[in-house]
Amino acid sequence: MLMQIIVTGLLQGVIYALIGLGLFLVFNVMRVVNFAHGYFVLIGMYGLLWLDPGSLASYLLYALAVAVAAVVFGYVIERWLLEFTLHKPGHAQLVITISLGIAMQYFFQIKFPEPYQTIANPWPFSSVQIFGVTVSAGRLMAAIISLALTIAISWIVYRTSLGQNIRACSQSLPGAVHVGINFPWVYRSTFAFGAGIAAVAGALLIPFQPVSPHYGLDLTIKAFILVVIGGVASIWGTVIAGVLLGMAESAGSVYISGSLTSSVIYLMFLLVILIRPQGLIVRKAAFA
Amino acid sequence: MDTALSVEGLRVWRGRSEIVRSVDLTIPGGQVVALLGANGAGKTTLIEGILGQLPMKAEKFELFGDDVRGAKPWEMVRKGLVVVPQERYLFTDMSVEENLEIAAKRAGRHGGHRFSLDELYDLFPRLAERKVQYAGTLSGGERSMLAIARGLALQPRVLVLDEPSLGLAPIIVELIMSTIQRIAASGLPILLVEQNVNQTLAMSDWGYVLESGEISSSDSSDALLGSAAILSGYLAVDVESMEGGS
Amino acid sequence: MTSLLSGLRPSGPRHAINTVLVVFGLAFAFVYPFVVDPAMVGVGFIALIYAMRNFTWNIAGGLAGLLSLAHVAGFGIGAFAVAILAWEHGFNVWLAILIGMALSGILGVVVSLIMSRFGVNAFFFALGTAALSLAVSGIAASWSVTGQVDGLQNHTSGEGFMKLQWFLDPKPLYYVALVALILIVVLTVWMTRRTRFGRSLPFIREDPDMAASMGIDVIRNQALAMGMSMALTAIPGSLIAQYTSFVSYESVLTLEIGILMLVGAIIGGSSTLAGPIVAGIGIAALEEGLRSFDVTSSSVSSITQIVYAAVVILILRLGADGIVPMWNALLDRLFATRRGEGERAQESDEKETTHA
Repeated sequence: MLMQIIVTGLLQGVIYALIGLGLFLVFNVMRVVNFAHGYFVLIGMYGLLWLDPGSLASYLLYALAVAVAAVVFGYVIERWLLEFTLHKPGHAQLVITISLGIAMQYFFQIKFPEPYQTIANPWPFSSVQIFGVTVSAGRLMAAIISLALTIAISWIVYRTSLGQNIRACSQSLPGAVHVGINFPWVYRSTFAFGAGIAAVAGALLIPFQPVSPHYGLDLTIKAFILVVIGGVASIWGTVIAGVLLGMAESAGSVYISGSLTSSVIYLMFLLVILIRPQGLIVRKAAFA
Repeated sequence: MDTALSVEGLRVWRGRSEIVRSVDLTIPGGQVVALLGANGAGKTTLIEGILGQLPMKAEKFELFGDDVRGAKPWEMVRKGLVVVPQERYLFTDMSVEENLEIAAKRAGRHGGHRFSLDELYDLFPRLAERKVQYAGTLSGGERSMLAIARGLALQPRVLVLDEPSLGLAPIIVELIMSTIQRIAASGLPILLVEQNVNQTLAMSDWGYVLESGEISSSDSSDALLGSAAILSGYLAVDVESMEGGS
Repeated sequence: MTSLLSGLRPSGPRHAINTVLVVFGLAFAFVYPFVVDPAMVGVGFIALIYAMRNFTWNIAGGLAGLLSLAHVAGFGIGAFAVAILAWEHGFNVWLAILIGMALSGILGVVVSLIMSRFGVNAFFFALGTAALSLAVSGIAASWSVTGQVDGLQNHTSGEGFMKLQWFLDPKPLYYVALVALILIVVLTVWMTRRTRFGRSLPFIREDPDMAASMGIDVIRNQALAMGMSMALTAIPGSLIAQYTSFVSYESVLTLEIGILMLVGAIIGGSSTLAGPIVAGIGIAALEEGLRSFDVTSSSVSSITQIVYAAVVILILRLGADGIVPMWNALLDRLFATRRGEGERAQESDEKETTHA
């Protein structure tokens, strides 16, 4: 039982970390709190549901396709719906991202009225045994690929010029302006990239995680939990927070009911918001 | 010697307020120009307008002969206008070296003065000692130095310095000012904004005095120095106690 | 809008027109059940509920500037209060409503005080209240007292005002809702104009620090605003429970409802009194319109949500403040030549203290 919790939680947590990472990047660079982030994940999930891959090759191809679609979508949203709200007082950004999420949720509701759908396992094996726990192929591969992507993103952020620009904007936007960084371009790329990451996570989830439209909200809140708890200063903080969340959720579903677990997580999140936000606002969030 | 920067009828807004109203300003090539004025006169606003950070309008705005009205900040930097801001805006979680590198990477490619990293460490030995230190942990004087060095790493054709000596001890001010003189000696046109009237005029060829968003005096530095009595009235600053840095 | 209650002294063509509209609207609302199909009376009731909860949300949201996603908890408490106390345990329904209001109000005050204590900013206030609503919803879905997933049914019998239920005729409940809405609006207008507390709200909304330096107890007043707003939001919750004779976590405690209140008020114009009401009526009309085109009921709610979202994004993108402010601006533009300095001055005075 304990092993079950740890293994499942760990694997799930790594996937959550990837999702949180997308939000983390956007928040650090742009100070945007994207309520629709979880729904970007759904682009990947419903996208693959719709495309219905028959083989591993088509699954991977379609996954790439939805990622590209999400990148384009993210760019469009940032450029035309979000950019004008930045650096200005008011709550337009909040309301717009909330509304976007709601619009996406109900769009999916109309197009996919049946809840809790998944796609067939695309991987060439069906399950493995890890420490005596049976893990489905979908879950294992999702976790492995998520981890690989997280490492890749970390590399991009710390070792490339684009990453340097991202870090510069997040540490001091005026500084970035003064060294001649085209920050609107950084904003757009980062937001689009975040959307793409989310969609890939969705593509990884759909073989084993049933999807319903309101799952987007659940994922959004979880992504926020990760950013608030662990990710303020570092990518790997987000990952650790993701793993902790995954395990907490796993433990919760074993010992208490599913919806109660969620409630507990939300309340814990509320607690964290109360204790942490000073650190998020006062200190200009930066990559350590 | 061509004109580095020339603007006529410059107006700059902050939000709805027009802070700078109709300013004519010229930075001739190879010269140091001083921009003086009390707090709140609009010096920083003027600079932010020139860089393209704030909404601005101008009848004429040329950088080395190119019309740059409406240019975005990163375009201005590309074209060689580098501003070292009052707040420094360093990348606090990056090392001194990385702060310089990020600027060096974005240097415009034109015949600007080449300030290689070695030359910058030559100019600012204190920074060389702290190459790997995080910018957030530097002292006030070191921050100002890094900000200037970072500006130079962008290979400017015109350098604008907004109060480089602000809040610094006299010894450090001396150091920075003499370094600026060395930079000027290399022929780089400089716009120097300071409240430190005496020293600034001593270092510059021409001076503008900004009052409530308008130029109230524009004359050679020598002439302005001579009228120190008028200046102390305009700027409500005691010229005598200038040595202590403002 | 405000002129209506300040002695019917319209101060300009825009106010005159709006006053006329309000008077006609009220008159129409009163005769509505008698001039339409019986089936439409229910729709009218729903419209009033939507209008009411948008409006009560706006007391915290538009007036005090607290973008709360916790209000659905207040709505749900109102609904479950009558379900649990009146239906299951035989309490008098009016008492149940009052208890629901009290609980809801207390929750509002507590939430606000806690958030203030920790200095939470607008985003995290929204996020935190959203998390709270989700938590409450999840608890209701698991708790037998609230009927878990199946919800609670009204098995009581008897009709009439004391029991506040009429199983066949929607008209009495319609009028109860109408009167409730009117009373709530009047109460709010009185509060914003006649009480120190009410007049302080615009200052708190615009610049809390400056409000504090003016001697306003920002934390206390925010808590009061939240409390009042939440308590009043319980009323439409209770009413809709009596109307549908059924409550479950899914019908009254979803975050989507909470978002709907926020978005509705903003679409209508959170800086106005009429805005939230207009938006509420509008969305009910839209739903009914869709239904009349034979759209399935699940699609109806989906489509209206999408429309809502698209409209609010559009309005914000255009830099407008909502439908009613846009309407007011239109009227102003039409009558531009007639507006003198005097009217403008009077108007900016009014804008300081109230929001019409």
